[in-house]
Amino acid sequence: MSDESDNYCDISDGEIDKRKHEKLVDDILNLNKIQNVKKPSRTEPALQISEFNLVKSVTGNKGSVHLNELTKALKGRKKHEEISNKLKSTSNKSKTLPTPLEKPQADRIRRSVNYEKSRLQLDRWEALVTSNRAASHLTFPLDSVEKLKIEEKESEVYPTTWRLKSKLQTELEKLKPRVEEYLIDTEDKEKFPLTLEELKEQRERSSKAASTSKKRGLRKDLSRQVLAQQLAISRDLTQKLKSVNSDSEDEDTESEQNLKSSKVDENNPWVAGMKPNKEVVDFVSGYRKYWNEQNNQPEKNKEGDRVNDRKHENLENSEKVEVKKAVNKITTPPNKNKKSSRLKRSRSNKIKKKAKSEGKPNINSFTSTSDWEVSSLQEKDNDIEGIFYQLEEKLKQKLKQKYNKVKGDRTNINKKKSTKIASTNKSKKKIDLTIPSKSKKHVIDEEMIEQLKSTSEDAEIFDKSSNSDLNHLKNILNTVEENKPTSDIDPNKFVQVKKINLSTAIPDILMTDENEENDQTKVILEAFEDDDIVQDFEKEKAEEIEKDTPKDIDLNLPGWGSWGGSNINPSKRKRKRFIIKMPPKMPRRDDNKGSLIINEKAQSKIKPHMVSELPFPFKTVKDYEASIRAPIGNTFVPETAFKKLIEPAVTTKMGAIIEPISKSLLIGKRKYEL
Amino acid sequence: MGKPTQRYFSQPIQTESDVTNEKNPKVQSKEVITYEVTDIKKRPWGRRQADRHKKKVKQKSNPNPTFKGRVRPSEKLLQKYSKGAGVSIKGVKTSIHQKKLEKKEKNIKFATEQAARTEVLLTEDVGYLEADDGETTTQFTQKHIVNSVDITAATKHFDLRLDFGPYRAKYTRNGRHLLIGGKKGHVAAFDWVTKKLHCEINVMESIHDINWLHIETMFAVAQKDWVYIYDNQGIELHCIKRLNKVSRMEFLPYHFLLASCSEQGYLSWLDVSIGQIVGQYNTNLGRLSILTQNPWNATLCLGHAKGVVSFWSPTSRDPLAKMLCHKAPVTALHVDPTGTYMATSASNRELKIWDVRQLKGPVQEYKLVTAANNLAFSQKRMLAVGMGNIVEIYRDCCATAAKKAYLRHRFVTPISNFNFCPYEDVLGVATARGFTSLLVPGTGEPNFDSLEANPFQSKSQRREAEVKSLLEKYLKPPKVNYEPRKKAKGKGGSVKMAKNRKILQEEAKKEFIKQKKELLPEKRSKEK
Repeated sequence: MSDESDNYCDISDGEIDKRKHEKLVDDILNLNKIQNVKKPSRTEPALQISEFNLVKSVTGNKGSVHLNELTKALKGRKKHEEISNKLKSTSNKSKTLPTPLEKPQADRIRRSVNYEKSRLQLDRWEALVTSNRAASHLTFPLDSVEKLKIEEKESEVYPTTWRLKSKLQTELEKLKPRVEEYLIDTEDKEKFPLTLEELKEQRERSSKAASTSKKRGLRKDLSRQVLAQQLAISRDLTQKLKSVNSDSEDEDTESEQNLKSSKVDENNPWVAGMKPNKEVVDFVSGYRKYWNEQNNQPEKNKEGDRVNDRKHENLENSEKVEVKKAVNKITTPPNKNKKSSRLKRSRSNKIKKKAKSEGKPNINSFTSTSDWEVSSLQEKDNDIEGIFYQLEEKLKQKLKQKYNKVKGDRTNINKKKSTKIASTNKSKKKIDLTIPSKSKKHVIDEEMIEQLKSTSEDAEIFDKSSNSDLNHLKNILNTVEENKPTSDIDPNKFVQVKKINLSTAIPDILMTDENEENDQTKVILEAFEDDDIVQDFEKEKAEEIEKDTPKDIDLNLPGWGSWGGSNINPSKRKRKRFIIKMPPKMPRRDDNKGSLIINEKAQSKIKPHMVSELPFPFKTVKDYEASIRAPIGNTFVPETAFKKLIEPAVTTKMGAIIEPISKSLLIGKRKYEL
Repeated sequence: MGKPTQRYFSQPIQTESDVTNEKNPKVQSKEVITYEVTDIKKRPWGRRQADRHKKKVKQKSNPNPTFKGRVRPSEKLLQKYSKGAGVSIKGVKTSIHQKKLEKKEKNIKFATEQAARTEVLLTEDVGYLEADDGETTTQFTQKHIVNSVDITAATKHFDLRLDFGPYRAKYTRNGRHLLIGGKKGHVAAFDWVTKKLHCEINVMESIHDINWLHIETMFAVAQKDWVYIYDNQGIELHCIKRLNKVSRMEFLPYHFLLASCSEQGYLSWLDVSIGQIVGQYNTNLGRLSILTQNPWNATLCLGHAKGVVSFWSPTSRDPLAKMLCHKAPVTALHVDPTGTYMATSASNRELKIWDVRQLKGPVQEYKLVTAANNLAFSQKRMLAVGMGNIVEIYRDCCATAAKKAYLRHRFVTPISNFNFCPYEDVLGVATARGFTSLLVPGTGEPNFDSLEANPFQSKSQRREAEVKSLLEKYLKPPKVNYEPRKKAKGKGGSVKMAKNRKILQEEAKKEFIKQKKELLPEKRSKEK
């Protein structure tokens, strides 16, 4: 109603105050003496009033009403407190569903997920499809894959051969359905590469080896005491772990890993129920401490190194070997530490192997004097050893870098004496110390210069950007400037063959051929041999060329558009306009060959058979030409090769049904390499 | 006014249910969205990583090293049969085509290797007369040679004394049969190895030339007016009146064309397989009497009185090429069987060897004592030169200059024509008073390809070969269509490409000029 009145007012007079107007309306309504109860309303500051532009509440996203706050009012009574508690618990437990995503976004996600799924589905076909497409020969129906047969597991089948099944067995069978397995028919691989005895033997050997290596580790004299302690602790630890789960020793390392992370991993069933023993915790903490110390050590080492090298600087004639030794000394102790500690923990064969393999790169890294970084061949491992090893490596590298740097500095100080080191430096940065070669003065040797000029002239047309040619030119300009007459050179004139006089036998009878009339004509011909024949031929050639060259077409019509007749010359401009000009000179195949006329028209019949464009899969003409270089006919090629070359792309077996490709093709092993 | 309308893109309005999880509603909503939409493709679509890596083929070591397996032919042999470097795989688009071409290259390699292997089967070898110190090969006469060779070889030297005027003689392509025709009408066809006569007739007309057709059962005789075709029993099969006054004939075996030139200057090709004239042109070059074929491309070579040799094919009205070989009338010419060299001789006692493939030359130039009126190349590129009643044979006269004759033979009567017998060390010379077969060691190809030309052909083999060669002429592979399949409308791109090229060229030109300007003398003087 108020809206209507508003509208009305707007129409009558826009300048009337709103409040006044409302009051007026109220007053008028009050005239009826019935009290009207106003509807609750609120005001909101907005520029536009529409249903879409509502202003958010003051509290923002949280909303104005909080249930928890409401329950505060219920604090007073015990009865109501329960309700508030309930509310709290429910709000804690239950999670409201998130607001659904906007439609396009949701769709996009759905699409991407579906795309990914279908991509995976299709991707597995990709290899087969590409190989089939690239195959030079396919026989349908495709049986490129070995036949598959579904077989039961041997372990499942074998017990059934023994006796009647007990009740328990049958019951169990009901519970657990039989597992079927794909087995490739022809495969006869061993399921167990080693027998039980062999396995045992191997294990023994490995443990022995581990113990020996351990001893070796002990022999090393650094921090033996600490290590011995740790060894004892770790041994205890492993025993205890064994008592918990008397499993294979391989898992020791795994459990250690878990322990190391001190948090009880929920996912690991082995550690789940076990509380960390005090000793274990001690060990772990000690261990970690030790390693923290170790990690901090490199800095100290570096400092030590620096000091060492400074010494070397002072002692200038001390040899390189010494430096190396020094570095060795510094770097070895931590290495030994690590090694021995590691060895104590490890007993399994696997770890022993690692220790061996790690030993090698160590040696390598020490012996290498060049700037190459010698990296280990081992892959990065996630386990602790790997991390340690990486750290070790890093340390070594850093040391080496420092070493090299210092060495380089030394060489700068005294170049003369340390020539050896300089040579190593050279390999790093090839600093050319040779005196920049001066451009030599050209010895005046005319023939050579002439050759140079001619070659460069030719080359400049083709290689514009090549600086070498430019240099050539410049050189020539610097040395000699001679004007040589340039003219077309007929190579035939220069490559003249020497006429050889053959002393043939003289025939008894000078034979008079049927073609020739008598000797007199011969004599005459011989006398005037050069004159006629060559001239005639040249004339003929000129005529031929003349005939072939396209002539300008004159479309002039005298008298058309202007006066014509005798003594009236049409304007030059007009004449020119009506002449269709042809390209001046077409290159001919016999251009440079004096005594040869080649019929250019005869080619025109071959032209449609020739390829005008580079056909599809080729990028260069050279490759295309190479692809058709070899003949395939059996007149040119042995029969066996011929059969191979003309093998049809697709052959079908007669009478066999060709079914669409099936998934079974994807599973089996290929019979042949495509 | 009710509930405000909710659009999916407007911000969600809080409802009461939202209020309950007031603690951290934002965090929760974040937790739900777990898809990483931006990072869908971790690897490129459509290709398996496994396919990209080349499988390393483990080669088993030879379990028994004493047997080394198949011997690979020597590099030299492989080089002989190789067809050149193959396609570089990088120059091929799409991996599938690359793979296909790789396989093709493999096959070609196999083919060359196989061809090199077959050399083992070529057991025969060429031999020559080799003179000792103080001797020359020319001093050995036929008598000497015949006395020193075995009986079968000695039988290949024979002499026929015939009375019907200057003779012409020709061998079949396999070199087994001989056809002789005397000017006075005597025609005889026989197996010259066994000396078994097929037929002997007198056509009662002058004979100008004779020629075998594709097999030894048929031959053509150019008689006084027309060309006749006889079978090997001497029965006249055809009289071709359109071939008028023929002076010389050649048979192009792969095309089944009987080419002939007439005294009136006409050149004609008769298709023997269908009996039609394929082309007949007036050469306008006067009387034609010197004709040979280039066996490599089946073009005809005519020698003319103006020292010109012209090359012809039935497809073009005008000669394919004309070459001025001599400054005197050409008296004889011949092209070697590989189509590499051409020998011409002129009346001014010149003998020249040309490179026919490039139409270039002369490669060699000789001056003879007397003009040669007959020339013939053997399969092993020996050149026989006939002058009057003397025939001289030259070895290695094409690539290198020959100094002396290899062999020489003197006849009583002048020579009219001669031919080297294919696959035999024999030169058959037809003279005015008969036919002589000379032994010339080292002229013939010692190993023959029985599918190509078999000297020991049986009757059934001959039939097979005839049918096969006919099929090879008429069965043609389908034409390869290199036209692009379909072009996009207005998206050829060739115009744009051309424009780009032009721009690039111009840029290069500018740069070049700039560089060259530095070299100009004025600038340089200024700098100084």
